[in-house]
Amino acid sequence: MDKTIWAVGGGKGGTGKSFVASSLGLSLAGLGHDVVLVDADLGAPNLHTFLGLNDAHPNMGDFLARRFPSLNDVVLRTPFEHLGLVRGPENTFFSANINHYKKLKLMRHLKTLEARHVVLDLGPGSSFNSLDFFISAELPILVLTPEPTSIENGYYFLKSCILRILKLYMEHYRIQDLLRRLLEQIEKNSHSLYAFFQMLIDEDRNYAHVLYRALKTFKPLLILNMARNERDDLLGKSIAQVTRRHLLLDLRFLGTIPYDVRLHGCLIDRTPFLTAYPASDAAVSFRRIAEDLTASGGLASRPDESRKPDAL
Amino acid sequence: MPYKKIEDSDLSEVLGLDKDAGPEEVVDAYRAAISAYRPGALASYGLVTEDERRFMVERIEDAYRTLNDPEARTRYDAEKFPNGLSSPPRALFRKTVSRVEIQDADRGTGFLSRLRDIFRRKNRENGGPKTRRDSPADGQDPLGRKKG
Repeated sequence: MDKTIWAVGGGKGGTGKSFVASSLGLSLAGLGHDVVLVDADLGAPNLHTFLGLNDAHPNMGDFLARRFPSLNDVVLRTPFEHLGLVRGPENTFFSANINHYKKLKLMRHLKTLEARHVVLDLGPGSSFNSLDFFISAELPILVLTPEPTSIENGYYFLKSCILRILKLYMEHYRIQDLLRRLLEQIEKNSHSLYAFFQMLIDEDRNYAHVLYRALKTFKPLLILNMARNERDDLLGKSIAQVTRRHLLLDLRFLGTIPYDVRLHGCLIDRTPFLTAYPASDAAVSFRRIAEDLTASGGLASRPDESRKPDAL
Repeated sequence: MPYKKIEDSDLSEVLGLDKDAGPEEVVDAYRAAISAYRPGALASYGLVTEDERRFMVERIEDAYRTLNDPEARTRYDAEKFPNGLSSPPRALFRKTVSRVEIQDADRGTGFLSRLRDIFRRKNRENGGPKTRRDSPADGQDPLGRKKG
């Protein structure tokens, strides 16, 4: 089955990643797509609470502990049509820092889930586990809020993604010696990625090409959550433009999700916001984003708007 | 070929505009661009240094002054793009490669140059040290993503 893996992430906690992931899952399911939500915040899982589900059910921890052979075995069928859920591990002490092999196993099994769309809710921070799920997803969605702390952490997160991608490719092509020089460059200032690629162009055009292409395959998307006014829409566009200009990444701004004070009440009642307020501006925004990203040709037609060193 | 720094971008690139953008688009792009770099701007917070921010503001103001003045813009375009404003054609060969490769195909080199690159790689594979992998296209995506 053709499958699209979505990963909802971002550097900072409290930006609403789980709310966005659960709402995108519900919106996709509402459009008739088979969806499995996966709580990949292994250190602090609570995606089930956003869906109002708390019944005991085998979860990711049971899969990771080999009590179930397949991730499909721990998919909980939710009361919402077309929507399944893989709950996060309850025993976070042992699951928060899964090793490399478990991570690869999990990645492999994500691709076998019986659903057209798999939506991952990632934990905060820039651990290798979060980064790897984010950069390997077809639709990596960065969730920020219009606050300096969130935006600052968002840029840190994107820089970490860049480093992780380039490191993986350098290891793959056995050119790890370049990594130290990249690390020296990227800490200097926002122009440093250009400087790194320029240095590489001068030394070995083939590797410059390989690494640049590797970077260009990563096309993150941006949602600005808890937006308060129209200025936040401009802010989202500006963040995308600044990212393209300084980090060479083709970041596409998907839109804002308006702040809604009623979300708190929904959490207290353990009722999904989208089912409680389907006509709210936030719910409409989620539906529009889900429709946009699932429209045929919608993703393939993304233009590459970022700048690149001339010689590439 | 020299590496293109932000200071070397043309004025349309500074504002994120197509070269043939109309007056209203210039104003909109200017507002969007300057809002990203004004003092205290959120959009560039944590990414650019204060010196870079000031530099970008100067570049954006300079671009707006020229592109928003029809006479100055005509003079600038004539000087900067003596052969007209059309973009150079993209590489159209290599049908089997991915979209990314087509987009990133080097405009400055032709088919013969590519062939030379391939042979150079082949020579290295046959006789050179094996410490590095020589062919960018020899393996799967290290991230395990779908190709293409």
